[in-house]
Amino acid sequence: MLSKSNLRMLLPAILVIVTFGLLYAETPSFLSLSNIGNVMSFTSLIAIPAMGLAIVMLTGMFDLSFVGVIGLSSVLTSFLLQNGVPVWICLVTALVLCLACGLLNSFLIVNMKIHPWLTTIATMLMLLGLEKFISKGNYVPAPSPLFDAIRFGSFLEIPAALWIVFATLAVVLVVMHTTPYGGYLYAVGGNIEAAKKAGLKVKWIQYAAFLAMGGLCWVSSVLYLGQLSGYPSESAYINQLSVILAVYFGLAISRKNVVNVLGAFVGALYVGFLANGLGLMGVQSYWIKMVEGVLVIFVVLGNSILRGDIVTYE
Amino acid sequence: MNSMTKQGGAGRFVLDYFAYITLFVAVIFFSAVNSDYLSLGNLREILMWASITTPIALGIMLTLGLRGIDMSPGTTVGLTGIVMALMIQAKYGLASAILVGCLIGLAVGALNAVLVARFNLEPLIATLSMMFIGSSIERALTRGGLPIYLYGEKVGLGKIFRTDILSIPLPIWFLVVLTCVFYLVLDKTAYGRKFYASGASLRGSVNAGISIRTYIAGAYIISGLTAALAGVLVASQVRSGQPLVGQSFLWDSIGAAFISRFLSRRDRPNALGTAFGAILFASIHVGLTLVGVQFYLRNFFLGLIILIILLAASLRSR
Repeated sequence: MLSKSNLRMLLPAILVIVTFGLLYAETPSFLSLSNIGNVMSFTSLIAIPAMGLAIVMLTGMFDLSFVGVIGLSSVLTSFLLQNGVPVWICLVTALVLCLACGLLNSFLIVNMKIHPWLTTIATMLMLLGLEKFISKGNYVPAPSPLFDAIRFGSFLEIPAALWIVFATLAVVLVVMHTTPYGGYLYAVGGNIEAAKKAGLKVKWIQYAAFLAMGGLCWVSSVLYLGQLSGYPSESAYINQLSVILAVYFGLAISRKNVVNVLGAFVGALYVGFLANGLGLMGVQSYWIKMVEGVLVIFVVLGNSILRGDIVTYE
Repeated sequence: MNSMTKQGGAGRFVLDYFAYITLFVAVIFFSAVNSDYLSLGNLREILMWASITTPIALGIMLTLGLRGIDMSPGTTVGLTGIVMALMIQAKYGLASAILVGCLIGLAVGALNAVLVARFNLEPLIATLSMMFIGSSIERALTRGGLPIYLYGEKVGLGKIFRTDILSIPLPIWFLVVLTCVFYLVLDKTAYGRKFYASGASLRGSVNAGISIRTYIAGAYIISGLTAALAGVLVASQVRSGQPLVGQSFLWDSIGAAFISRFLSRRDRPNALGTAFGAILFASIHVGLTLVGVQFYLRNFFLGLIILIILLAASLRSR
């Protein structure tokens, strides 16, 4: 018989079958090998911030400002590059910036006890403002052999960008599953009070989660600059909902019904295939965003209905 | 809280009168940089801007009061304007255009209400998704984001924003009346008491027999409606349907709704404080324009101010 947890897994299964079925029926070239390369290049932009958001959400917080962090970091890197600064100094500066943003967010949320939504709305506005101030709303090119290598280089027939994604995923997964830190994260997310009673330094774990988010934003900005040879204004902001959808898709496929990094990655793959397939069908980009918005609601709603926890309110 | 107030001190004073001090500092700063800031024409400008953000902020204030948030009003403003412009282009009357505009606001609000109050979705996720869905529809209706201009159509659309009653513009009357209605309902009726009680303790109110879902649903529906009213004002101001115009109002309104807590002794969102906050943010908006701060940096300052407010609120509640 179908138990409740099995029933819950129907949702992502149906989503995947319907999506892939429809897209394949419309455009059979959708599943060709060359197209899968295209899918992966978009997925790589979504996957990294999705993993970061999953880590932040694991500790019971939320982050909207990552789009601003990625944006400012990318634009700053390109700006410095154009002014003749060596590429490694640009990258280090951007990394420091990303970690500082993570630190600021976590200080406000953890120490000042400001609600994560409000905090990250405010920091998002600030960062997007600074990003636009530098970019003036235009495409900012980032001329560097390093970024060309990320875009065009490959190793063992697999594009360099994908190697970066997989390497990041591997590092995060190893840290999450072989060191105590991963367990702490789940503990804090599961029950903060219990984690405190058990003697965990909850504050530091939450700080670490936001620092991880900052670091992943930096990786993501390097990928944006590599994939697009620069940074089109607000492109991370435009992809914000795709990242959120990826994380919630990951929640829906999780057995224990918790947000997790691997799930977020698989979610990003799904979002990548979806956006690419709809694009191949000639659907306008804003309709794709609409589909994603509906899917976020559908996934979150379907997940909680099938989980059967819709009655309580507190 | 009581013992804290007794401690007194300069820091305490700053935190207790934070909203007034912010306004005072802003006015002094902007008028020092540009003497035109304190002119009557500029005051009018400020109030006109606030007349658009106040309704939005009042709606958001209700959702904040019940521990939620509404991110969708920005897109409702744009959507209302676009649909009104399309209807007027198709030779419908102004009244029916306004009516349909309001219905759109109610529909967005009702959807949010169902998602949040019935299905317990996280308010941020639900309304953020609505925001993205709404802006997709805005762009779909305007061929990817082209404004709908109403050339030479003899309509009264532009008049709403430009009519004076007793030499005070109609939008400012609207601001005053709407704020009074919200104030009276929230502070002088049983509905208001139950609303505040629900905000103070969701579980306690459920135990006290308050149908809290109704209040939460009501907050989102009203927020949708007030956003649509603001959309009517914006459409009248620009005499056209402008896609994605609402986002800039959204951030001002969230800030205004949040700062209202400083004008309440009980540290909770309220109507008068929200109107004050809207005027404060309008003063800052107009001031930044007058001083000539680059358009691109405006969001930075807006975020910074909201962040300072949040910090002050956090320090005050310690």
